[in-house]
Amino acid sequence: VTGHVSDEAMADFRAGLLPAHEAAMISAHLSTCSRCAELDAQLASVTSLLAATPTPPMPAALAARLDAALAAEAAARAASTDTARAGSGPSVIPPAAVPAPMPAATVPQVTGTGAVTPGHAGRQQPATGLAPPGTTASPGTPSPGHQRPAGARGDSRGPGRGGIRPPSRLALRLAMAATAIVLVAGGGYAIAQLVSGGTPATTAGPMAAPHSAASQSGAGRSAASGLAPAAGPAARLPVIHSGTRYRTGLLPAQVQSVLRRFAAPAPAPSAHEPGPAAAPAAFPQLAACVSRVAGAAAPRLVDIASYRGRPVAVIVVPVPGSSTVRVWLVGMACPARGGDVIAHFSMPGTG
Amino acid sequence: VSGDSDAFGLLFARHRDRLWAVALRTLGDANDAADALQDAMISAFRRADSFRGDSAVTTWLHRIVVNACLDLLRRRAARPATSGLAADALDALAAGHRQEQPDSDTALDVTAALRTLPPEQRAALVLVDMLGYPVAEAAAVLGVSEGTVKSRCSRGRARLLPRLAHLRGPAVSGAPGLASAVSPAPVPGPRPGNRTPTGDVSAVERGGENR
Repeated sequence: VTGHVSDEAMADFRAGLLPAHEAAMISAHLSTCSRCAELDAQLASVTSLLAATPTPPMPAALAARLDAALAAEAAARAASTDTARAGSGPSVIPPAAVPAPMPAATVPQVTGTGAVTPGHAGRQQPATGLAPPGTTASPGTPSPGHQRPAGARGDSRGPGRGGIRPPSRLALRLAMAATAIVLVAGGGYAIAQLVSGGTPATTAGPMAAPHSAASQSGAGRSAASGLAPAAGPAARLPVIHSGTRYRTGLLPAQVQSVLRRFAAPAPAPSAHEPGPAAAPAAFPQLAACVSRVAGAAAPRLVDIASYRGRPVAVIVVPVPGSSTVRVWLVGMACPARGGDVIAHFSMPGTG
Repeated sequence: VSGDSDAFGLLFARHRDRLWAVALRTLGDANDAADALQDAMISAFRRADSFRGDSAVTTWLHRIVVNACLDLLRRRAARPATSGLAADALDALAAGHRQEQPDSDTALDVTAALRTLPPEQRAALVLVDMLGYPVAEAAAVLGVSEGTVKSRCSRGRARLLPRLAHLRGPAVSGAPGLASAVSPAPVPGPRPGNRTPTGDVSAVERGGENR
């Protein structure tokens, strides 16, 4: 050792990675060199510091999300098993058996499942090192093709494994919940509706797309928000559920795309029909949230979607006298926690 | 099929805090950790049959979680920087806003420092130094030799040194602050009777993934 011991060499020395003769030299050097002795101590403190960093327990919300994700997966498996047995038959529960508008409170497993799904959206295969990179669906694209036909997951299961045992009661119950989500969600799109007192402008059709539950860990994602009864104040908001999975680097482009697709979201404001005037389940206080972040300005569009696996509301507010829009990306705590603003930026609107 | 999810749910629940800690500290972001953990859990559930009765199921679970984390990091690293918004700033915003139990300043600093490390070094340090897994177990989780784990930890510690210097408390001359504030973990010195040959491994590590 000439001069002093480098950080790397000292770290290797401490880890027992050096050949004996080098270790001996450093050992001897340490007894005479206070600078290197301090380096030695500093490296010890790195480990101490890491060890002293607390590791919080899993947040309860995440535990619930994971439980629900597992339940949904089990339901999908059970349902695909069932479908496999019945050939290409319908899903476990006949569509008619599922009431369309369901108060979320009475069907906790539905909202639970729905709450899970955003994080899982668009991933064909979990990232475990086995999946090829880049399998994520492109952002802003609904995933009608995100189906899991029966038997398509055979890669993860032994041959013939699926059809042998009947699904458990639990699995059936979960499959039912999953089916309910699917039916309400339709193709993954719930189109513009007023937050309260309004009508659903269009609907991709609860009955239009009776996918089997097994196919629908995907489309259920944006669904839960459509299930809740009106809970917010009677403000009119142009709420859409674009199904977009917003991404960090793509936010402006995605917002533009959504603005283009939902250029005229407002349905006839006079319409008053009985029906699910839904405040998004994830954002029961959406109106308060919007006014918290945007003040008195009337938003052009509020998109209930997901960002990094969490439900978010994307609030787009035109700037008067310009073509610019302001965009807020807020989380579910909104309007609490300062609006729970995840991102805020301005960008050119589209006309 | 019946009972699978129940049994697996119990298994996962038993380990979830540890797995969460691994994911959270490896990724340094609560949202990413949640996503990785969910992916890992589903993947493990789908493959659970092949591991039924395996005594190393804990290691297996950890391995899947770590792989999911590393996969996420690699994909993230491979993704080209996008125009428009500063991704890092947004990420920081998201992390700051979204974590349910905010970390202390120190934990945030440590997390930030860890994020500067290559993923493999980070994963090794999180397991060994942060969470106290024995080197042998970390090696099993990471699917590499013990020597490689040690080497990755060593490289990582050296790289963290300057980044964590400010956390070692007011420097009294000659006496590192933190070493006295926090009882130092037992870090073995050079061990002549080291079980694993390490020379070639560290050479590989030096050439391969360092810097």
